[in-house]
Amino acid sequence: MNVDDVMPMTRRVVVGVDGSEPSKRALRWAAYLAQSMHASIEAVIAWNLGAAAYAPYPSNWDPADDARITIDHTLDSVFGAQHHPADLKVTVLEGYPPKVLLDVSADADMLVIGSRGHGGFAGLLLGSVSAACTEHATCPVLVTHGTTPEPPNTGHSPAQLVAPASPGHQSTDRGTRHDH
Amino acid sequence: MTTEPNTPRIVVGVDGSDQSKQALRWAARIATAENARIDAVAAWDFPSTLGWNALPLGYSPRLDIEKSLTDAVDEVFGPQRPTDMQLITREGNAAHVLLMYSQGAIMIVLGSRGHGGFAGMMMGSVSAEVAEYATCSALIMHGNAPATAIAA
Repeated sequence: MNVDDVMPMTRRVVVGVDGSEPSKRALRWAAYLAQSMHASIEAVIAWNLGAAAYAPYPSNWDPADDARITIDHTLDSVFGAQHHPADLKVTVLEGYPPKVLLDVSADADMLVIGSRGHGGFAGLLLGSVSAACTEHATCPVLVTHGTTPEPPNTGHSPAQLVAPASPGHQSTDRGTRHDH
Repeated sequence: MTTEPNTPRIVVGVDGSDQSKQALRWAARIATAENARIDAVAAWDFPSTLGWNALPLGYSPRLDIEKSLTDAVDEVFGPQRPTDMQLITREGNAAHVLLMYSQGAIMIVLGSRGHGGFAGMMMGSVSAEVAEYATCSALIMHGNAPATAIAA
């Protein structure tokens, strides 16, 4: 089988964002790797009503709006409000977070998630979202931990990491580099 | 370690499977960008379910694993093996060995399942344990796609 028949022509790194510090670290790693791979980034936040679905809530409360605000704040805090990566895509979806991330990353080149490290119960260190994603993803998954070092050399533009193209693969450098 | 202690280091778990070869390719790309060096690590253990008597004379899992590691590295890189790459074999539980070598590394890369596991077991115990307990980033390979497709 010719891999070019099945590979999307543009590379894409998906990163799960929930506003937490681990998700900020995951974003920095995603940005670093996406830049190195000449890939676009898709930052994904999932929301669901959970228990609130069964409780009265103010009619002017829009959880999708809340999620959008959370992810925007997180992106501003990581990249600076004026310096989002050029082809960053922000996706806000309703659903169970692991399912949303697995769906969105189904044809991605990489999924990056921060492990909360303190969800679940003693002994279960990997958060349930990252554990589910690590187990069921179809693309490579990068799990960052609280103890994970920051991505190397984030102070400058790395951009040396050019994955060798498969035969016939079109270069798709679409200006993903950015300074931060 | 023989090289400078401050050189960024990437650890790759290699068991000879296709996923572990993908892991080597990914590690090489990231290492190139970061001037990091790579430790390709393979662990071996005497099969615990067999008694010593079941092992033929001259059977050496260490030599087997060294050959498997060298073959995998040669298949992936050929004559262009990354500089400063170390091939390491060590006796012990694979997850424990990998976690030990990943201390102080910037990333550990390994396949989700490798040769072990069975249909229905989505993720191998080694990658699950490493993803959970690593102190650095853990990059877990998935699927059966050729590495060129994943990394291209």
